[in-house]
Amino acid sequence: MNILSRLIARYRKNSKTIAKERLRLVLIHDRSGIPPEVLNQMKNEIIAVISKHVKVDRDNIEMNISRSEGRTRLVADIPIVSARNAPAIDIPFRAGRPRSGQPADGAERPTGRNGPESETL
Amino acid sequence: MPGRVVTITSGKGGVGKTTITANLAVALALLGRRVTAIDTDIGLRNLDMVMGMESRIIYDLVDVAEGRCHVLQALIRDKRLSDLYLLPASQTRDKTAVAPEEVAAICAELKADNDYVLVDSPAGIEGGFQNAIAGADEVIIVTTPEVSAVRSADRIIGLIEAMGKGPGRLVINRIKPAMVKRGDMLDTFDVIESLAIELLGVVPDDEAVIVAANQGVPLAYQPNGQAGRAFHNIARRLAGEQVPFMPIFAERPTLVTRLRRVMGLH
Repeated sequence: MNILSRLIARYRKNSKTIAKERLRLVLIHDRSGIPPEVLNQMKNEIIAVISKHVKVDRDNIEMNISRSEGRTRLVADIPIVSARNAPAIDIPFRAGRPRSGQPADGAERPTGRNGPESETL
Repeated sequence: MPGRVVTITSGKGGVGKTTITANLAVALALLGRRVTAIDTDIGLRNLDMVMGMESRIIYDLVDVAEGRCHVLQALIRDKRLSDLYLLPASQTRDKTAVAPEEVAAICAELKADNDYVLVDSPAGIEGGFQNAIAGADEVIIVTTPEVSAVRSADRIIGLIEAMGKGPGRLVINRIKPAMVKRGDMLDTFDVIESLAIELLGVVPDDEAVIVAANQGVPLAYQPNGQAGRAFHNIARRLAGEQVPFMPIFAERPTLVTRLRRVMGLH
């Protein structure tokens, strides 16, 4: 459930929303034998490990216990933010900038594979 | 071409397996198919009552399994539809009286002469359920839009998938549109999202079902009401037809629509 649905549910507090959330949690536990709190802890630890190597989009991570092809599975959907998708950074334009890799004024620019990420982690 | 064995199960009791088995059997027979329904709820038989055949039982499933009679001798033919039969359960004994392999063998034998063999499963996950599922080619899972029924359905889906009989298709029974509108009942989407299997049909709560059971005439004989039409749509989908789902919030029918329905044109 995304943030908007959760806000609406808290506002409405009708019984079906409560039912749906209870059902979601109980099915996770029934299917895997893993209590929801442990699952949450697992999720945070997995995010921490993956974040050591790539930047992840924490707000859109989904982790569920589901059932497919006869097996119970822990399915994690972790969007990774790559350099290509990073927000654009304002580079001041100077006429006569040399065409080689290094800018004449030494300003920091986002680099690709070889350089560090431009945004902070 | 041999028919298909379809087991109707749920896990939770009282959600409508027997009602749906009876009505699906009638609806399929009205579509011209040859149907035999089997009651595997040994010790607590009910399919016979819902189908109005309770006074004509001579032999039952246990008699067949124990070799006291041939399966054809135990079949009871419906009074109204010549291609509809019932193999009743025993009212004495219990689920241990037959073994899953025996029920599977009976299903295989009946399959040869029928288009559909519908097996009504008892509640639970023990021997009765194992008996009912043993011969199944496909499974229909029945649930109501209530938390305990959905939870039980999930367990059953897991069990049948583990047995290789999955994934099964879902019938949501006794949905109450007014409660859904108020936000006091899970809707179709909520249930499907939780269980993640294909939807076969939705049956609205309808007092006419109880009246029909009182009379021993399954509601599918009158396809005009809400539940009656739902049973027929489910039968058609089971038979392979693409039938759009009825909106549960039906608009008030116009006079013309109502007249057409009464005349059987809608």
